Amino acid sequence: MADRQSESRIDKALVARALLADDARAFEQLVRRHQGMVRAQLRRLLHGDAARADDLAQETFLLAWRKLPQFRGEARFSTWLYRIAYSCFLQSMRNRQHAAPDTSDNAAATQPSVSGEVALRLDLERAMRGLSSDEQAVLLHVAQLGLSHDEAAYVLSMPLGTVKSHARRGKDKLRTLLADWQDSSMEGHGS
Amino acid sequence: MNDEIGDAIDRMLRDHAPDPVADEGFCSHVMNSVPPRRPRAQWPLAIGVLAGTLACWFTMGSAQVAMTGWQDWLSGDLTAATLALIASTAGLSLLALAWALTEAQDQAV
Repeated sequence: MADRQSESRIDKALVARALLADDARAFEQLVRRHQGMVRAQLRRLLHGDAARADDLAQETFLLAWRKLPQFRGEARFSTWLYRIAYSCFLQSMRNRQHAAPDTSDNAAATQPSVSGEVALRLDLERAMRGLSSDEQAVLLHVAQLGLSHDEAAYVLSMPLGTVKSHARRGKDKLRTLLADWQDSSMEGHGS
Repeated sequence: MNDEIGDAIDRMLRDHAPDPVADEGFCSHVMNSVPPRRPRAQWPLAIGVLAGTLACWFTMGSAQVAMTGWQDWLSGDLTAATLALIASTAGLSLLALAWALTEAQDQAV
């Protein structure tokens, strides 16, 4: 918690320097500090399409540079960036009229014969694809990127209640889809 | 039991959270594309200050109490008009100070 606060203070100081002194190096520091997680967020949203995710990440940081005077510090800088990145992602999806084919059923039927951690990761990825795009986005931001429900609501431009219900419903679906893994996990913990 | 399963799902999601992506030249690429920031135009502020000063001058010039207060102030008399003038000057100064402090705070954030 203290780490988050000190990180947030550093970000705010860098934003102030970038704005008041028109210091591009301060903005460069901000890019360095946050590019890793923004690109990871976009890659996950785009199901691993690294090239497209990096294009969107670049667009995100260029937009952040343009909109920097609008950053008032009400949210953390990282949360503000996630919000811009998610908007870029939605815009890109709209432009492409991209509807990802739902391959979860077929994929589940053709489970490769790998075991352990790799298989679990693959199963989780497949199960995540079985969720609606909103549920995926909510679980990504809340359970994986570590945002609070409030922050996720801000990033995804959703009401807080909707975020909570998507998180609950998403986890329920995952519980069903990953029932086999849960059984073995519970047995593992029990023994 | 439900809590246990919920915790297991949370743990599983956390364990498979995306890792930060290595820079690999991304930052330099972004900084090469960042356009120079256009300096903010100063003329609207200058015109606003000038228009405000002129409006104030014309308004105060036609108000007898302001002229009387000003003359009494210069001659060192603390009349009601002088006190009114001092009070309004102090009030406006405080408002300007509050505005400047708020702007400075916003810029610092």
